Amino acid sequence: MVLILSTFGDLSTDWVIDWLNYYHYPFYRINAYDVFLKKTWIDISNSQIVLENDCLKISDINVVWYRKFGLLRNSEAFKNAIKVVPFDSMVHVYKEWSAFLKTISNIFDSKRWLTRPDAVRLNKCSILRLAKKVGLHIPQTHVVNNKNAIEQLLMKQPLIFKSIYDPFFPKYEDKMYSMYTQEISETLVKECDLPELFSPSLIQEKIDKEYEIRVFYLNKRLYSMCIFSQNDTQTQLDFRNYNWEKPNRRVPYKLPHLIEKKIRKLMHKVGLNCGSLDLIKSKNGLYYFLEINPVGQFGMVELPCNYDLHRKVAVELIKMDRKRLNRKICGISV
Amino acid sequence: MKKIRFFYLYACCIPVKGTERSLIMDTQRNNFYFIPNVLFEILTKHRTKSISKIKKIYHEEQAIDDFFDFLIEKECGLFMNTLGSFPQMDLDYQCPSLITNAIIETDRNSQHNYASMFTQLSNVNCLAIEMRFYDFIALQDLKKIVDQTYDSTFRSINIFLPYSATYEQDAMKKFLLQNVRVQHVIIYDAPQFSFMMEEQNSSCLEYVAHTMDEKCGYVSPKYFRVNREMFCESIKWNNCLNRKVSICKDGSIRNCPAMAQQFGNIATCDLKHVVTQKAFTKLWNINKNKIMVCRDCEFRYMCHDCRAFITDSNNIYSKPLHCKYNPYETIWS
Repeated sequence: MVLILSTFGDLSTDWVIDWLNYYHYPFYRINAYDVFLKKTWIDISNSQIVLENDCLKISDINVVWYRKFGLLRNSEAFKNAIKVVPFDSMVHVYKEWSAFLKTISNIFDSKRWLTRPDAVRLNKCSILRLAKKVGLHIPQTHVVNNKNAIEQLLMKQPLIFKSIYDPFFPKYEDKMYSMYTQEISETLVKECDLPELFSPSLIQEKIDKEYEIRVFYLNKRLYSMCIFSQNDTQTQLDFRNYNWEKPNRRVPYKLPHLIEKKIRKLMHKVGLNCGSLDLIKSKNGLYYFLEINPVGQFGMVELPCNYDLHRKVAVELIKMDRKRLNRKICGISV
Repeated sequence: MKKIRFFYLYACCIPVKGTERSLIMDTQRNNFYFIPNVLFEILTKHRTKSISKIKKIYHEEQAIDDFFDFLIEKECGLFMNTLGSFPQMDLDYQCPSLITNAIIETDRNSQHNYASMFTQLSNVNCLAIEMRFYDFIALQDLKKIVDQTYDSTFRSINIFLPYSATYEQDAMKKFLLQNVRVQHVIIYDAPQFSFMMEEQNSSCLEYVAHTMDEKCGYVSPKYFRVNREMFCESIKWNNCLNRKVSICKDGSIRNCPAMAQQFGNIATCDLKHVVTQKAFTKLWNINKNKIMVCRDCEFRYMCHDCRAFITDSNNIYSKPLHCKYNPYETIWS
């Protein structure tokens, strides 16, 4: 049986489940916040999970699909708690929650995984170093905490700023801020009153790009999409600054064989058998690797390219479930 | 500066040829642009040829340049040095549902067992239902019906109701907020038109002055749908009837409410068995390439077909009756 660890409302999960139903294949879905709503009983010693009236025998499951399982901060329970519980206690609640999720994923440790949970907490800089090791081009990358360094770097090349971890969207005094990729110009450094010292930040050389490439990786197969974000000033730096009026052109793309090979090598090293990758092709013809998003949306690659990815994920889960458990897909920590 | 050798038409811009003229379906921007048939040929038959080669074939310089300039202006493509990295899109249509949409009709004489009906529709993985009420139903009774969809496979529910003063806005809005699957409620025969959208879940409440239109099959540019799914489904299947089912007032199972032929009754038949029978799915196979006149029309993959109202009732392949377009003269009459 296929076990799906997901979150309520995740459309990609719904679509994959449609296909599992189509093939009449048994599966069970656990949504992370079910534990706030349903009676849950994890019997560690007898290896079973009871959710309301469903009893799940660990031994019946051969493959687990780990898909957006539980960002606590998105749950209603968290949103309510944060209003009354002090910050330091909340930090602890967060840690408890992470330990709980880890408990669930540990129970299925010996199973096959589509995306192993211990491989998803990636560090951008470590991944960049690994990418370089397997022979992919990466933009020149620096982590700096001072104005002086930025000024020095700016003399050599144009720069961009990125989050070291995930971008997020803080709300401050009723204004929304985004941590999407930003260009750092000399005027910005001057006008923003950038302090001499600030929190360590990820700075990269700005690549003069021809187009962006988003890859969905599924058990060694690559489904690539080209995004022409360059023709539109609004999306030049980060295509997620969507232009809804005239959406960027997104079309099927085929990466050169050698780049695909290197990506496979990189994913193997990271211990991921599924995930999304971002690359850009520069105007001088080079492919630059940017980052891996281990549980990225593949609906956004599926839709413009008609790659039939939801069915392919379902088929892959079925194949993995049927295969005898002779070899663990090892997660190598970075 | 490198020499420009090829023109790349974005894979989402799909050329379609009609008898007299062609067009490009811009499936990402939901638009279309007319082109002459010769440009269709250039973009399909000579797709992989270099621009200079194309110019030689047609013994034309200026006209070819003008064509490509037009396409650049419409943002349909780009000049490229090589096309190797840009494969064509797979246009296959895949669907995990035996039935995607169902229409359920109800009047005061209907004897529907909704719980059983919804289970049967879920067994075929139905994704959307439209409930058409021809007689008054109290809001609390409607709620009871919608509650029974809780365990269903439905992602969306649309509801048509005949106007009643009891359907006041606040109560209806509350109903929409409490039932997340209900996306659109249309109250017909209303004294005046009004439309509102609930911001929280973008569901719509609409009061319309006109009556419930039992006829359909109208063909008009305002019903055109230009997107990839529509295109892929249309080249393979009948784009009005494929994977659709109607459960009529008396419980009869049909391809669409306007069709006379019945395939048993929902109260006594197994729906899955009915909709997988050849007799029921026969019409699904009538795609636009099989329909007279339509097969010569440039709009064929963005326009809904109708098999209930056709020009020649003895010929199931004849043109939709309510279509006023003549592709041989490119005029709407």
